[in-house]
Amino acid sequence: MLRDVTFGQYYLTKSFVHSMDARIKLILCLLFMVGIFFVQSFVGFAFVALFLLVAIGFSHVPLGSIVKSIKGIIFLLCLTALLNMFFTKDGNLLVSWWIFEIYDQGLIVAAKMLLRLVFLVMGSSLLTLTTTPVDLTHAIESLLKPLKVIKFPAHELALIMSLTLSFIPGLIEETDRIISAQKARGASFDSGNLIKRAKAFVPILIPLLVGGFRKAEELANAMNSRCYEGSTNRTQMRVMKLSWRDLVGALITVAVFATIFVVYAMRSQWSTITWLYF
Amino acid sequence: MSETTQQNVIIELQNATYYYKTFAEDGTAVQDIGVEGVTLSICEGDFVALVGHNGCGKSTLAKLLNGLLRPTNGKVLVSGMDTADKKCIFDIRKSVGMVFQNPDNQRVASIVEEDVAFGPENLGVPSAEIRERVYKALEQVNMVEFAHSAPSRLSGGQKQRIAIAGALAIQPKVLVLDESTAMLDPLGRKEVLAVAHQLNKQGMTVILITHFMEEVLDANKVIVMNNGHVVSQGTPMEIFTNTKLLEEVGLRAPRAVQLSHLLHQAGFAVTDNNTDIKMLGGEVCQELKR
Amino acid sequence: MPRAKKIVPTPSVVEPNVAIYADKLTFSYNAKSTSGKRALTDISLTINRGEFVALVGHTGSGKSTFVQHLNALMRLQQGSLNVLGHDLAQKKPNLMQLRKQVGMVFQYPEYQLFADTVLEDVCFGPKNFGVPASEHEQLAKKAIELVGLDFEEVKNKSPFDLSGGEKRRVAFAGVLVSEPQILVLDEPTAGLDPQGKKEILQLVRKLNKEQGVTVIMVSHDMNEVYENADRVIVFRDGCLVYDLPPQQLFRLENEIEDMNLEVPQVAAFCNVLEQAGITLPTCHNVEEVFAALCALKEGSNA
Repeated sequence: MLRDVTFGQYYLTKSFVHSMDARIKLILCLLFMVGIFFVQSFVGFAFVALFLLVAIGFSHVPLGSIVKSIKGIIFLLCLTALLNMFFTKDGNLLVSWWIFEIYDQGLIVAAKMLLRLVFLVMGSSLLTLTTTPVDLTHAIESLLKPLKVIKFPAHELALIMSLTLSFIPGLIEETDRIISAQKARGASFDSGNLIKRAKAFVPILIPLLVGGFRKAEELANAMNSRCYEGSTNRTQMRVMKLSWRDLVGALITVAVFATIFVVYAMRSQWSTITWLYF
Repeated sequence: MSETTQQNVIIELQNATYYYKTFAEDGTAVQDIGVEGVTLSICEGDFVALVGHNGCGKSTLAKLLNGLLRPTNGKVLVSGMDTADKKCIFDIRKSVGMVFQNPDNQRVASIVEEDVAFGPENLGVPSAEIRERVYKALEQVNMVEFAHSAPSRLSGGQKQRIAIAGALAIQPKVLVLDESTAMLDPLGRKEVLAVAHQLNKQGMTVILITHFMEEVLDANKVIVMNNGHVVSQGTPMEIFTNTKLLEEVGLRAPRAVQLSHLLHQAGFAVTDNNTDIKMLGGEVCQELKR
Repeated sequence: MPRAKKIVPTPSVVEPNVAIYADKLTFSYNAKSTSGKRALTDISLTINRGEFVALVGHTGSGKSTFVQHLNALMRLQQGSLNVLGHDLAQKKPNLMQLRKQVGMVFQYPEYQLFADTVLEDVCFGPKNFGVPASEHEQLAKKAIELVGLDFEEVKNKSPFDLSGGEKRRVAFAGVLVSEPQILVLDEPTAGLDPQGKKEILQLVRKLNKEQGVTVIMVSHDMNEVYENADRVIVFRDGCLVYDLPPQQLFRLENEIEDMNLEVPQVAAFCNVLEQAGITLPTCHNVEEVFAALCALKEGSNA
């Protein structure tokens, strides 16, 4: 469950992908997510699949762990597929029953959407499986730093993320305890109508809130005692350095998606080239 | 260390007073005494225990020591710097490290080494030196092997040692443990105390705030507080033997001291105010076998 | 499901004076995987009504898990468990009845206060357990006075305006108001100063001795355990390793220290005397030891 939030779904091992710089991984992941929407043909999807498989291979993360991440969105996948299937009224009519009509184009669009979403989830879970939330936080802070010019609070944002990560395990424990304590006093959370059920959560929420203020006060004191004064003149222990791995990883990914963009651009120019379409 | 002839005063309170502003039921502002008229000095290298029941003002006093609170009246001086002087506050906090009660509430990062690094990062220390400081601090609390762990998985005593390391990384001269043992089990308490004494041996001034009298035994000075006032100061033995005082402020001497004192007064040939229960047992055996 | 079969109904031989009967109680947090580390393994014990039992062991030894079984906050997985005649092997035990009879005070119970007024907070239990509203105030008054607070003075105050020690008493009152027959306490004195500790323990002893409430107290403080409990149960790695009166348990100094537990001061003292051949009558605390020694000395002088 949420208990292992510190490491998220981080898969502990050593690999090429693991040792890449979190900033590069984050940028490449974004590129991947955007790029995948420019893939139009099944050949293109095969190309992306090949790229993903190679990346997963170099990450030493078992394919199973990545496939597992798809499980979480299986409902969304089905819904998307069904919607695309039934609402695309293009091409030849294949089946017609009651108010439902399925066209061949509908099947193709649904399949492509499905592939896109699956790849999207696989790609992003490759990032979270090979990068700890802490590294990601640092990466985000570092990448957003230039925005300081427009007074964007990059450091504060990263600090909030970091604090959240470190407080969640304790909060979950406390919530568990409060729920148990109120249950022991006869509270039940699964009976009655909606309003009654919502009301039943008051005895949990109030103590959590009060506890939150108490924690916040102690935290503020602790941070002040350790000379916290906002982001001015702050340094960081961790220095992020780029290595040859980042260069290689970035080159390969960029090359793959450059190809995809080029094909996309060409296809819109010569849309008659049907083989690219399939 | 109390025997050294020349001792430099590092923290000095002159008639320090702090009132909390609260509101009475009818909405009028009232002042609650936090601490009142406290005058005391703490010397370099001291191991001072500050004791008293809950709500006696000892935590308020602790917060006055590094300027988390500024005295309403009177003065608090740290190495001669006035905590009321805003320009000095950074330097004051650099010399007085503080560890609080709940180890879960004073953590800023979810990885041990990053949490310890928070202080020096705030001070603008160069990256390489931060790493040095972090590992030195972790070594001092004996937690180097956990540098890359998540603190939430550690025991209470270990978490609190991490918090101490976080304070040490600022390289303070004084370490204030504000009821840092209150939430720990006996094992965790032992760990934290051992670290505190170890640091004191290396020259750190330690101020230990507690209501466990067993933890006070090895301090070289005990300050007793009640209702915001310092009611007594002395060596642990001087305080423990003052049964009347302890009763007044709702504290208890360690059991061994109590028993030896009772027996001594009843005419048993035993050492008075003995802290070692087994030694006391041996003495009683000899007495009874005669 | 094979696991369901392992739940064994309590045999009908459970005597009426038995408060808690457990036989081969086993529990793991990850019930599905066989490799999941067990939180409890084969716990078998019988606790009679009116006993004062201390549960001892390190964090993760399984004592909290065990205790949470007693009012079905944890569902029985394996073995059998009977609490005050409620067979928890049943699919649907009478939860309300059970939880009313088994009061549970969690660690730092003051952090679970929530209502606008002390009265409302204390009445939360009776309200949930379906006690007629007309009786609430009377019950609350009794409970609040039992924990040593002035009912008229505190009843309309916000629980958040009270001092730390008072908050804890209100939280206690919120459990005692249902007049439980078994009182489970998870480190009831944690974070309190000596005076606060003394008062809470006095209250618990009073409930036990005067009202016959069965007390199960989880504690890390061996001195507290020695001075209050009639029986100590030690958990280690999910197993029950000792179940003895404190005077016998803490004679095993080496074993106690091996488990990283402390030998209580009074016990350590008595052990030294015993090794020298001097046996004192059962002493719970410093005062009793002192009285016993004085009597002994007078006897030998006379």
